[in-house]
Amino acid sequence: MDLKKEERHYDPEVLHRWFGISSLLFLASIVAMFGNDYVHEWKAHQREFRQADIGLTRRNLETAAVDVALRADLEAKQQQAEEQLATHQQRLDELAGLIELAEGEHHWATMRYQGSVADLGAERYQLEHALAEGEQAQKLAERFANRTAQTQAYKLESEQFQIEIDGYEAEVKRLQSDTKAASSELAELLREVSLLERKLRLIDRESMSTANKIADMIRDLPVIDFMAPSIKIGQIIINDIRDDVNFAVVPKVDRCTSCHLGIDKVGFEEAQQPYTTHPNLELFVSSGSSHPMMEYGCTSCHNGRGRGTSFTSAGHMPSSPEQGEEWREKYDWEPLVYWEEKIFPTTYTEAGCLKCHVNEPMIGGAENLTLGLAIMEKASCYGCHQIDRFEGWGRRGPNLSVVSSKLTAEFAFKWIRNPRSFRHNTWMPTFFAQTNNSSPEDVLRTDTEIHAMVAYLFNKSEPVHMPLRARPGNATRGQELFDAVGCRGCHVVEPEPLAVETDLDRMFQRHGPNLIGLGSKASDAWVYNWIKDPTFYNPETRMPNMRLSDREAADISAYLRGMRNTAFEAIEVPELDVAELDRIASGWLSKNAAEEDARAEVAGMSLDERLEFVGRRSILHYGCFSCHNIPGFEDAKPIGTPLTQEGSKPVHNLDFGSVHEIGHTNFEWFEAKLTNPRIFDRDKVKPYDEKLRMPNFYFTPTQVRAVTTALLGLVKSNLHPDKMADRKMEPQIINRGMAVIKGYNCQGCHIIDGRGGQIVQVIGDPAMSPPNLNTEGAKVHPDWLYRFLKAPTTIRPNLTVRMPTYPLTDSQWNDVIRSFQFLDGGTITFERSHTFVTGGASLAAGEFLASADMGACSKCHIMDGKNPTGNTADWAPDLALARDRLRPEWIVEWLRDPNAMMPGTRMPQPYIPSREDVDFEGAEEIFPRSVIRIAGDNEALLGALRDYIYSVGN
Amino acid sequence: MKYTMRYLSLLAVLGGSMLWGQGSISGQVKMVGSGPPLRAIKMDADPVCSAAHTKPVYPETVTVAEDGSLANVIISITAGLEGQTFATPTAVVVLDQSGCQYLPHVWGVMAGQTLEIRNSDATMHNIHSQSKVNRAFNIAMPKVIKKKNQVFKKAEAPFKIKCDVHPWMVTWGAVFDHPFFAVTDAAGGYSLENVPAGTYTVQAWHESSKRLPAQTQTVTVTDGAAAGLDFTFTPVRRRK
Repeated sequence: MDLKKEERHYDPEVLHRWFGISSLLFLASIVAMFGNDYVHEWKAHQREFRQADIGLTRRNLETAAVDVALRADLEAKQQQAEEQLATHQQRLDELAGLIELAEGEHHWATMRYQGSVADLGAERYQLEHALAEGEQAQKLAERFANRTAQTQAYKLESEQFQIEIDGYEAEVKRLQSDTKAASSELAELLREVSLLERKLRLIDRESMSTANKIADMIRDLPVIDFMAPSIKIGQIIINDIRDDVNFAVVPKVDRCTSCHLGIDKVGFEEAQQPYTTHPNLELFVSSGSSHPMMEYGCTSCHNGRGRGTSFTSAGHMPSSPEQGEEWREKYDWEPLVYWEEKIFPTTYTEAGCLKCHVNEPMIGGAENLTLGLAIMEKASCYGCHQIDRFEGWGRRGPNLSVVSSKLTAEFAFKWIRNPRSFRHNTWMPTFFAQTNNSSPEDVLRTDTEIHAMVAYLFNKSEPVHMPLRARPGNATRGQELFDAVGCRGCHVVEPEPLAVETDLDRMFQRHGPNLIGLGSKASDAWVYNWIKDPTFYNPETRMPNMRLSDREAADISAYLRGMRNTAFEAIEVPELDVAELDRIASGWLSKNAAEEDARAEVAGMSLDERLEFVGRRSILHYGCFSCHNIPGFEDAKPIGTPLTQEGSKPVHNLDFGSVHEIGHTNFEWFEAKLTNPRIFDRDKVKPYDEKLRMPNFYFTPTQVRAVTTALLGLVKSNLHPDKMADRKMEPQIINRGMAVIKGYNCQGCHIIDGRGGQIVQVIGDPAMSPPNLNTEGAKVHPDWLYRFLKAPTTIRPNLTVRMPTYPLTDSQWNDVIRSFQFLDGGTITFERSHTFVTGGASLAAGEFLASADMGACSKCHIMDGKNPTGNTADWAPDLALARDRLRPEWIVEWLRDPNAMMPGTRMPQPYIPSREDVDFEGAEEIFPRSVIRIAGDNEALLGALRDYIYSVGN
Repeated sequence: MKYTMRYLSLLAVLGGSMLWGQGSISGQVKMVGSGPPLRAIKMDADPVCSAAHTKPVYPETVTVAEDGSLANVIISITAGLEGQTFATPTAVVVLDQSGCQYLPHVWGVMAGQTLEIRNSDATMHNIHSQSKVNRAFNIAMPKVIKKKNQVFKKAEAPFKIKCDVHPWMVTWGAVFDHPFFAVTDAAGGYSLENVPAGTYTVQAWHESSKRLPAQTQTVTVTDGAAAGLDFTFTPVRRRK
């Protein structure tokens, strides 16, 4: 032994021991590996959810089985019927035998009949052949006659057996009918219950059969759970939405439902996360919604790492730092660092809509996002920042190429320096006296720049001829008119800022500027000419022509001009500092030349030349031309960062500077930037022209949130066209029309697509306000609408508010008209004309129904040029206009139930006589025969009224 | 057999009432001060209406007697009946349009009970309900149509019904899911009969709900006794 031991370089015993230890370690590590692989966050969730689901199903079962009495009753009935059936068992058996016998007989009889039919055919041929050949046919004819009789007899025999069978079967059916009825009644009552019971048998061990119970116990055990586990990853694969995972584009895989188990199930609304039901199943997730989970997944809208199967790896993001802390504590959460598209915090969920709803001016249900887009449009973000969505929208600020005929240079200086000192809620942003340019040196520089810019603008400004001479007016009457004719559909007169936050409805009311202090701004002549016809000054303005009389225009202009801003008037304009002007000029020049040369060049310029040079450079620097039309800048390029894909910009490309108090996420950066555009210059040392220059819009927190939502939604996306919201033609047309409607603020006055019409708050009575345009597409003839929009005519003479004239192109009007049609589910078809017989019965019936004793249309409708007697608020349009204006199909639907079409309308449901109404002795004394004949036939009666309405005035 | 059943059910009803008891609530409603000055209605717009009256007609917005008795107040139980269901009465409630006025000016029905709307005038009225819980309706009623039945399916707080042809015509109705409601008469009196014994919250509601806001009181009804419950409305001064 010793020898052998020495022969080896190792000790086998030690080796065996080590081998033993290492195998045990190996085994333990395998067990640990399996264990580790087996234990998952989502598995615990699934177990917990299963219990919750069992609980809910049991509760549902309890509440579903409420009508115990009825159930017992039905069960007793069924039992009774079955017992009854049992007593007939003998007869049933007998019948079964009889049916079998009769069927056999019937079979043979049918065979005999069919054989005979075949023979008959053959014999007919022989007979016909003989007749044709002129052969002796007597015998054949006899045979044929016999065969015919025989066939008929067989046929009757077969039918007899069939009748016999039918009789037996009817008897069987009769005997069984009670049982069948009882059991189907019971099944109907228990349908929900049986569904729930079946579900419980699948998930609740207590309701399972023993075999299933055993299977259920072992199916989720480690190792064997590869076969048919009940606990498994929930996974939705969307082939036509693809994720870019760097160097590869793969189909979207969302595993969110591994934990969010109740997301598509009704009944978990109050459950804890992650089991909560989606808050809007009507619109999302459920298979009947327009965004079914199986077609869109989860991360298509919410963002995040769909393949993640734990709280952290899915990329959840908190809505607030406090929530973040809570998550760290509760779920050991940390932000996912190397995944840019983290889940939108719930505040910004709506950002996900924009990817597919690219061209929609207003995205239904996404209030925050729609507000954000409206603010982007109003603040003209796209003027400085290229945003594809707003491509070609033009400059939204006033035209400055003619500014000298509207403003004084003094006003312009004070306005540019601080627009809010004149109007507290202007959309013109503030460039100066911000956190990064309010030192005395900066103020000296910026004041000089403003002097130069004003000089530039006024030198380049072309004089405009004012076609009309201003007239004196009455301010009191002007104020009444201002409230009455419709100015307040777009304008407010608001001396103080509102205490409430902006929302979309308030933006409709403030589409045009707040007209406070107009007396300190523009001249009498300018205001008068502008409200008479704004195109004299700006042919591209969105301000419509109100078709005011000279008197009205003079009154309104007196009212507006009467409002002055004395605090603004009192502001002093500082003297121009020529030395500073020279410093700025040589500063700009020295960018491309030696300082010495630059200074020499400045010294060689006249003061006007220096002003013009610095003015031009400053306008270029601040980007004034982005929103305003300024001579010399017609082709200048936008100065801001393109934002078309801002939501996809990696966070490391955003410069947080020394701002450390906010988290490193894109939305926190946007929030900070929008709240104070110069914040990231804090503690930076920069030459003036390198400082941040985005102006301050003084956004409120709600506005910041809304714009941030929109920015997050502007992403790089290569979605399949089938997934886009406007993949069909109708939404494209609606979007185009709605863009015009939104751009010209039609919703300031009218309710369109369920939104707008805030002017009613000024007018007070919906009946005296501009009409609700609900069902407009179905209501009016498109050619009438086109003519009306081009040149509005009076429909409701009792209204003081009037439809203005807009200088839109034909194609814009067509977009509007067609979008009305599509909103009402219309199609592009030719309008058919409606005809009826003059002097016909239908017309006579309609005339009677509309007469003073019946419908009394003339009580409210203007008829034959006569105004109704009642309150002006109760007047209704002249029926003579109907034929030209209203579509015949719409009139019938309208008459059927006016309140259903326009909730709150004063139009009553007209009286339509029923059969009973005319079914009495002497009915003919009240009702004409034309009505009696069709009474009870609603379609005919409504049609008669429509025919009458069409006949009025024609 | 039939009779036995009938007696049995009678016994059950009697037994029930003995067991739980029934009482009544009655009282009077008054108002402090006088109503707003009212201007006579101008009915010239429709000759049929103006011909129906020889004396000037005043709106019934606040009908208060010299001693302060307030008519047209809806008294109803608003709490304490939870979980009980009551049979819908077969009797109809009549709302007449007569002399271009609604009679009565204020009324109540039970959900499912028939409201018979009559037109006693020789002119066309339209009945425009402003109900929110029940479906709003607006139907024309030409003079040849003397009756029209309407059923409100759900309980609803008082709402307005008006005629757009004759804008002065206004009536207020309320729908209840129990039969314990009443409208005060010209003397401000009311009574709720056969109220099961128990403690209830009773509300008094007047159509000038801003100036005379609705008020509630608690009352206990004991078997066979008549509980008294008076209300007094004090007008709220309008601010500004």
